[in-house]
Amino acid sequence: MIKRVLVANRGEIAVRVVRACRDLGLSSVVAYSEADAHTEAVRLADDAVCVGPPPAARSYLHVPNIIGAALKTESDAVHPGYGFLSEDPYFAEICADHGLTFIGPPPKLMEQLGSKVQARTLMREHGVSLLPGTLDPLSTPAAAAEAADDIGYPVILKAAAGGGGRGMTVVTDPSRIEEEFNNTRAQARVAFNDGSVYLERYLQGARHVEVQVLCDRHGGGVHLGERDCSVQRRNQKLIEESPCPVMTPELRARMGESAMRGALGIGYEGAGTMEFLLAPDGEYHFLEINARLQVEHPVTEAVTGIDLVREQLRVAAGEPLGYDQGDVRMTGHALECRINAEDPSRAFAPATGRLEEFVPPGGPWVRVDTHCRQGTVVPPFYDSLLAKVITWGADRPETLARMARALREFSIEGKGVATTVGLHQRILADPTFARGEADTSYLSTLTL
Amino acid sequence: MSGGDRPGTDHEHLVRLLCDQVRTLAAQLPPGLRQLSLRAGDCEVSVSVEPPAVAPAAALPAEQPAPSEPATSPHDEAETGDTTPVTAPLVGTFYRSSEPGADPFVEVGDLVEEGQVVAIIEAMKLMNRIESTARGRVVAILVEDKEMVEHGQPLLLLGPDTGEGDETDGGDGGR
Repeated sequence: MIKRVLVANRGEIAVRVVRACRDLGLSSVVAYSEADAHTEAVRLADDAVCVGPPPAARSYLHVPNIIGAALKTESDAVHPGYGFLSEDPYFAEICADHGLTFIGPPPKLMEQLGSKVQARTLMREHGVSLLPGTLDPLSTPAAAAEAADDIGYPVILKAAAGGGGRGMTVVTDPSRIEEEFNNTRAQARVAFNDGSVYLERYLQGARHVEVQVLCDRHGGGVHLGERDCSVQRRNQKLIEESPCPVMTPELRARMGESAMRGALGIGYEGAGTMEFLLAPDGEYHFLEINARLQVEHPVTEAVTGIDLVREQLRVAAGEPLGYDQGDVRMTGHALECRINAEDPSRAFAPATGRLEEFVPPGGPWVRVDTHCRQGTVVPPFYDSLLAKVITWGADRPETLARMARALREFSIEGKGVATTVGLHQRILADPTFARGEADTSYLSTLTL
Repeated sequence: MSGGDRPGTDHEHLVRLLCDQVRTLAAQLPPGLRQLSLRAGDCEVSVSVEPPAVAPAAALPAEQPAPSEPATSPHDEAETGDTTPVTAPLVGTFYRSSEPGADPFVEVGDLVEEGQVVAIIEAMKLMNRIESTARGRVVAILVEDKEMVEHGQPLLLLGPDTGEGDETDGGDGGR
């Protein structure tokens, strides 16, 4: 039984969780840093606790302060959002030690899934197809070279403890493999405190297609279809959509079945995402599992009519899902644009500051998830996501047209503030994207 | 930083960087910031802050006993008149003494030195000694023993070190 939820996050996702609590009649408490004292989530929640100064390490990542905030307010559950502590098994365990329900999978599972090497091994054990690659971390540059020769170039080196698109290097030239292995390992040590590196075949022209799964604590679970997130810059997603433009019912059934076999096989609980690469030849290969809510979850909500955060809270409270795969329907098409405070004309340098004007779009089938308003000062301490614009339509062209309308209405002005709205408009107008042909190499080839 | 080929853009960029630095510094410095100027090359950013108008705190002579309840809105009364707050650097449970039954570290009227232990905040079973950030006389203790506090919450107010009252050695021997 959950009555009060501590929201251990900020920005738009904190607002999202507070709204889900409101819908379910749960009390919400937002943990905030000094930089976020006057933000929307704090304003909307029932209570708020200051957990530290602006730097994330001393606030949003400060486990004792977050736990203290939950105990101080007599919260009984903690929602970690995405990023920050959402995939930290240590934090999940500490929550359990203090009698707090962590909204997510069990800590032991989080630990296993947090290592991409372990996740791949687990998935293989459950018959999920992997890209040709090494199952164990590579111990030496020579081992990397040998593995790459076996698999065939081009290959991609990946940090086992990496995530969110970081810690990856593509190697096309065999003479570079040993040096790139050393670089990737060194960077992984610094960035993730873990230098384990593995290797996979690199698929050119593949699509990033991920399957949303939702599992309860009673062995029940469904998948909620797929999202195509191929439009990425340096492995950071810019646009996501559902369904995938080249998906067929038959392929979706197969990918969904693989995803559920993996998820239920490992005893997954809550909302999670199975990432796959969909090759041009129609074969799909498991990449990794994100054992948390994702930024782009609204796209799935739009086509399935299922409130994912609400389901997370229900499942965490011990409720059975109450529906099965046959009850899940996907209708129409949905698209999401991530509006970041970055300047595409200056190599996407953060362009933060005070928002002198902030007028989000509205109207038919337009959804905006944001924490910003006029006067918001975008702080330099965190990521640069300002808002997510999501549109739905009966088919893809209608969805894209509505997104074009919405982006045109969106007014964001501020001294030194630049955003990716213009870039999104450019992509929407581009014939390759309009035809649904964008793969993971798309953005790097688009002339900005 | 790029060279001076396009002075307009460089200045713009420089000013933006300075503004970011001002914001970062302002957030990290103690409350009561009045003016902050940063200069780089021939670019300068200067910020002046008017202190918010607040009702002056009731003057408490050192001989009077401590108020029996914490102030109703301690965050508003911090930094008024001549008082300086000692604030919680973390979230946890506030204790006035080093262990149950021991004397409190400080009482109202005590003179404390900068760095002197004035309280303990316990978080996840770790006892954190809270040191005074200034020298002064304890004017008010704003939190009850065993109350949970948040980061930045004022714990006690220090006034100027005039008047009579006890000088303490810091309860359990100070540092």
